[in-house]
Amino acid sequence: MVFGSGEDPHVILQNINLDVKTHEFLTIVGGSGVGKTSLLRMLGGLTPASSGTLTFRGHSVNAPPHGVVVVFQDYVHALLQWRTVLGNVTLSLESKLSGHELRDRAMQALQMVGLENSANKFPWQLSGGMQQRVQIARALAQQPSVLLMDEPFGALDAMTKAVLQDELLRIHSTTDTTFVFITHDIEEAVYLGDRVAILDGPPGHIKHIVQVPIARPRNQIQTRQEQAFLRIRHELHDAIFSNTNAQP
Amino acid sequence: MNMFQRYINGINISGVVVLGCMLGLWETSMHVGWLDLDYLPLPSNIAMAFWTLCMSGEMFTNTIHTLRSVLIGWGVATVIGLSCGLAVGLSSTLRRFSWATIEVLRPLPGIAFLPVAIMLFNFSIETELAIIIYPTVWPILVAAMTGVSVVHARLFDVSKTLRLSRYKTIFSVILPAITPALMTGCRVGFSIALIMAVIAEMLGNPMGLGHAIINAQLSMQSENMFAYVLMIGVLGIMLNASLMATVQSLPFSKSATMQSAKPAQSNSNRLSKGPSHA
Repeated sequence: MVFGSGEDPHVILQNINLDVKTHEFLTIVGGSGVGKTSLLRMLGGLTPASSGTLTFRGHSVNAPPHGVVVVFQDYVHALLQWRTVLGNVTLSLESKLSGHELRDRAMQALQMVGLENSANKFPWQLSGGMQQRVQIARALAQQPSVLLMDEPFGALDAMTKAVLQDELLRIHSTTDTTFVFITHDIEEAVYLGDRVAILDGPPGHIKHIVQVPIARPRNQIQTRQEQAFLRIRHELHDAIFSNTNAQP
Repeated sequence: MNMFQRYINGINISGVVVLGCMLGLWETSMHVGWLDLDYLPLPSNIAMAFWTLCMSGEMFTNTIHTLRSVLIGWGVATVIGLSCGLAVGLSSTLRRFSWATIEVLRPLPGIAFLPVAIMLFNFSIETELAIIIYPTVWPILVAAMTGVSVVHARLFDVSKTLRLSRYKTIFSVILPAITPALMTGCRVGFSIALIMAVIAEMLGNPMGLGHAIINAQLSMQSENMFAYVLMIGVLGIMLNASLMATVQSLPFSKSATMQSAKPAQSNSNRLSKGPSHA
């Protein structure tokens, strides 16, 4: 993918070759500025790829495909501050559903993230973690087949992050949704993922893909102490930083 | 706290006292002889004239005419300004083609078109409305346009990833997001509309408060003249207050103002305790 044009275009992503399987939890880990967000925006159909092919279920992606929803990191800007929590969740459903159906569907999504009691609050009355849950609920209300998450917990404190990680894994286990989750946190990538892809750059490219053969359900304490967890974490750490040190 | 109490608490007592002192100073200096202008009436005479005009029904007829012209003119200008502003704000192609036109037409003083309007529409309500609408459109158009340009890019991303229709994006996302900016434009438009209505009535359409002032001047009834001027002031305050009340009753603008006031609690307190910014 190339940004800009003319004499000095900026190459953001190069040679990305990635297959995401149905119901997989793929995490993509990388430092800042390697093109993580650009990659996710392309997957979500928000930014067109300047070259190459991107397909979702056999159809090429040039606009957000049906069933693919992006969850952004900056929930403050992503939520409609003038709408209630429920209003934010119903936003995308209002043209298809109405009345009880609309409300039930939205409440169901809010229940999945444990916000059913805050339905009539406004986003600015909630904590950061809760606001991010609203955004996740809004995406879930679409009953998506793929959820693309761009460092969704990057702006949250460690405790909230751990709780939300477990909630996300629970949602993953109870739905058929495929997750692509971007993060700069190696441990988070291992804890959540079935596979972890390392994005390195610039220009961004997939440097390494690691399988995570750790059983689910996972647990914040035990999983993080498992040999496999520590080994993969080590492996990813080495892979990410090996090149960086060698650079002049 | 009931409405009446809130209203009483909202009155800026020190401000009213200053106003009263100034009127008292005017009255006394006329009596004592410090001020000696032939056609400057006493405040008490103005009050009397105001009362007489109200009783005779002249004040009512003229005020209604001006009020109606302002409301119609401002309403039409809001529809034109908002739709053009949204269109220009949302479409970069349209912006590229229309920007020069906007920049040329916008600074033209609307009053310069009065002779043109009189030629086209004669001394009529059409002339008055044309003169009101033209300059009132611009602040609303610019507010809508700049409002769209400062809507956070993420909201457009959200609309896309949720696959909202164009219609839904404009009415459920963009319009509420630009409401605070739009309201500023509408308030500026409101005061322009009132000014232009009075001028148009003085020169173009012989009706309403503007024409009543000219009439009073020609018949040398200076206290009537001042009474009408006073009425225009009252009308301005009332129009602004009702616009503000309408804005505050809109669900999304309320949350939007609260949200912007939330990070600075002290700021919101200061605003609520101060005089209502008319």
